[in-house]
Amino acid sequence: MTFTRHVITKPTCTVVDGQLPLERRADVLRLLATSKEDRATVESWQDQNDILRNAFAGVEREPLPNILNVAPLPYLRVASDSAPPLSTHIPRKRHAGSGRHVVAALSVVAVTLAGAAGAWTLRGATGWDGKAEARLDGPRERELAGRAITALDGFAGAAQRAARNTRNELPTRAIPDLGRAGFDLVRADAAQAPASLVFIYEDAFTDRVAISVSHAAQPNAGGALARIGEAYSWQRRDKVYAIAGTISAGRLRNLAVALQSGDGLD
Amino acid sequence: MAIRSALREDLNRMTPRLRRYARALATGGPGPSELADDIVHATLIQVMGARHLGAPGDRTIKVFATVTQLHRDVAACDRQAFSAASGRPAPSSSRRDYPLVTWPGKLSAALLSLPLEDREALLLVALEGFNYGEAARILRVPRARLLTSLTQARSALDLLLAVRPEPIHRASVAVGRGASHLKLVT
Repeated sequence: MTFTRHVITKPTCTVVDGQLPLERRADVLRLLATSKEDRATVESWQDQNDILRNAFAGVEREPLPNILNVAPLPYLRVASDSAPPLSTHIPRKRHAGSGRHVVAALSVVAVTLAGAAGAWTLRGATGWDGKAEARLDGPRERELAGRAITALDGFAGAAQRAARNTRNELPTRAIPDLGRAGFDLVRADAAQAPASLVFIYEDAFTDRVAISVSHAAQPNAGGALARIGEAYSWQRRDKVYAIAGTISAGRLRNLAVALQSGDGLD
Repeated sequence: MAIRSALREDLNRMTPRLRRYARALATGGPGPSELADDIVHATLIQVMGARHLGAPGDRTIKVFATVTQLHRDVAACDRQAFSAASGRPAPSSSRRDYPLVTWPGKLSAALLSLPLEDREALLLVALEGFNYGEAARILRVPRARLLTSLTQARSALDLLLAVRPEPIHRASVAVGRGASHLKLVT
């Protein structure tokens, strides 16, 4: 009886789960063949497994929400080898160990700059001739970029829109550098209406920010930081910037303040 | 960067399973759950910030162990809140009021009424398909204790769901998962 209980309690599970050791198979099979009750238990527990798996089968097929999607975004690759000269890097003191990060960021900046220029159709005004293979094609990037562009519009207003439509040149040749804040550039794209450049960055925890840059209607020395919806916008000389992100409002504001003061901009 | 990308790809492949496990643990049902998603999100953040994750096989174990631990933390907080509010000890399982009329509701209620340790063992083995060694590592318990939990969970679920099959009609029953060579002949 003792032996039987032992066999029933533990090996029944191993039979159900297909993890019965080879050396015990013969014994357990013999036991099951002679005991209706044990066979019923095995069947019942197998049914339980099926019920569980069937009940939760749909979860695996559900699309992942943005917050749980940590798939790396492919970095831009550029077919053209005519990368333009860069004016993006502002020499500044960096913390120890960031050298490799800077080199990587600059490499990305180089190919991305060419990619953005390729998407931009106004080659004559800039002399850029790159060909982008990746653009703002995912819903996550589009949603984020949309927020930044909306903030641009909200900040600049009709006067700026009119000015943009009359100017056939890129708003900037410089890509904002967020390397010090831990963000790498993963996407860049250009839009004609409204004319702006959009840059998407991502950090190690898959948080993202989008910065859009556009022409300012009236160049000035710089204005106050404005909060527009979930984004921040400001003017710096002849350009208007907006930043939106999946990070906390406080962290986003800190980034905006740093950029507004010229840290990371040309 | 390549290692980080590989980790992200690996985690992204694993996330649907993590969601399923977290939902089953937290709510007992397959429906959307903010709590489960929060647990998975916290797990992903924790894992991506970890310095050492080991080989990919170990990574799966560690990720599921993190989900399990985070859910235990949440459950413990719930129990403390329950005790503070009611002045009496909270039940060991996170029982909730589910309509028992529907089958999924019945399954959810049955799962949630299991003691947490038994529920974890059952879900890891029966739902997620881990072998006993892996499940024991995830739960940080000896293999014998895992088997005891599993047996208790199945016996309890049998009563709660009353899934006793009809007297055996099958000519032969494949024993175990997959294409087992074991056959029962009646």
